[in-house]
Amino acid sequence: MAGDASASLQLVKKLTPKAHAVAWRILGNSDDAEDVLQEAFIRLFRANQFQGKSSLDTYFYKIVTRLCFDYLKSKYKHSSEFFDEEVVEGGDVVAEAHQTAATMQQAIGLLNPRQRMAISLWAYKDADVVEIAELLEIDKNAAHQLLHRAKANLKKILELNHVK
Amino acid sequence: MLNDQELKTIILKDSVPKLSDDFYGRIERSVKSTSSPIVGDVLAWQDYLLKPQILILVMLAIIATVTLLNVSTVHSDDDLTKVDALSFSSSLTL
Repeated sequence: MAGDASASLQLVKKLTPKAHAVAWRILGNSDDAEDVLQEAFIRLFRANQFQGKSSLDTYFYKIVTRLCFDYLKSKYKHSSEFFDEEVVEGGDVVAEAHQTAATMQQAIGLLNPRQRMAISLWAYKDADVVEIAELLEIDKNAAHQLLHRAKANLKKILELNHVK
Repeated sequence: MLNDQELKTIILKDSVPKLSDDFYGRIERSVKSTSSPIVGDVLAWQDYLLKPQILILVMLAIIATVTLLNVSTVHSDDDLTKVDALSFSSSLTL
């Protein structure tokens, strides 16, 4: 990455803004998002494992979402129910927790990590169900369900909290 | 109940925090210390070359080249015919 005009720096500058927004929404903190992006770029450039099966953009977001998930998993390692899709689906967690959501960031923070990832990719990257499935390495039906639940839960939280 | 478009609008209404001032410098330093600069440039070029527009241009260039080659071959055949006719008429004259 020698000099501002280098192709790789241009690539970093092209990928960063949206990826930072996605990571920030998933992690809830800009500093953590920057750390994740730094690690993602190191992995992207360390060994050229990109084989062109998907776009470089998709390949990079796959690294970013995986790192975000690992980060949250280590942060919440003592609360396994946080990662349990069923608990959030049931609505109890959302119904209890909505009391504390005063901002959009807090509202998104009440979703479980996979739902956060799906909603952030949908909002900031314009990712559809097929792309979300590829990025989160799940099948298309699971991605459809995940995005549907994420939207429904978030709408419920926002309406209960009058977040605008 | 909000519809999907309204939900997206509300999410995007929040401004994303600015990157820290030295973010790109940090990335540059960490990437430099862990990988070869060539890898980055190769990736950047791969990203550029795999764009659909570029692929279409390459296809068009190949088609154009093949067409031109065909045309020039046909012309060469014509020229050969002309040469044959010329040499035939020359030999007749002789």
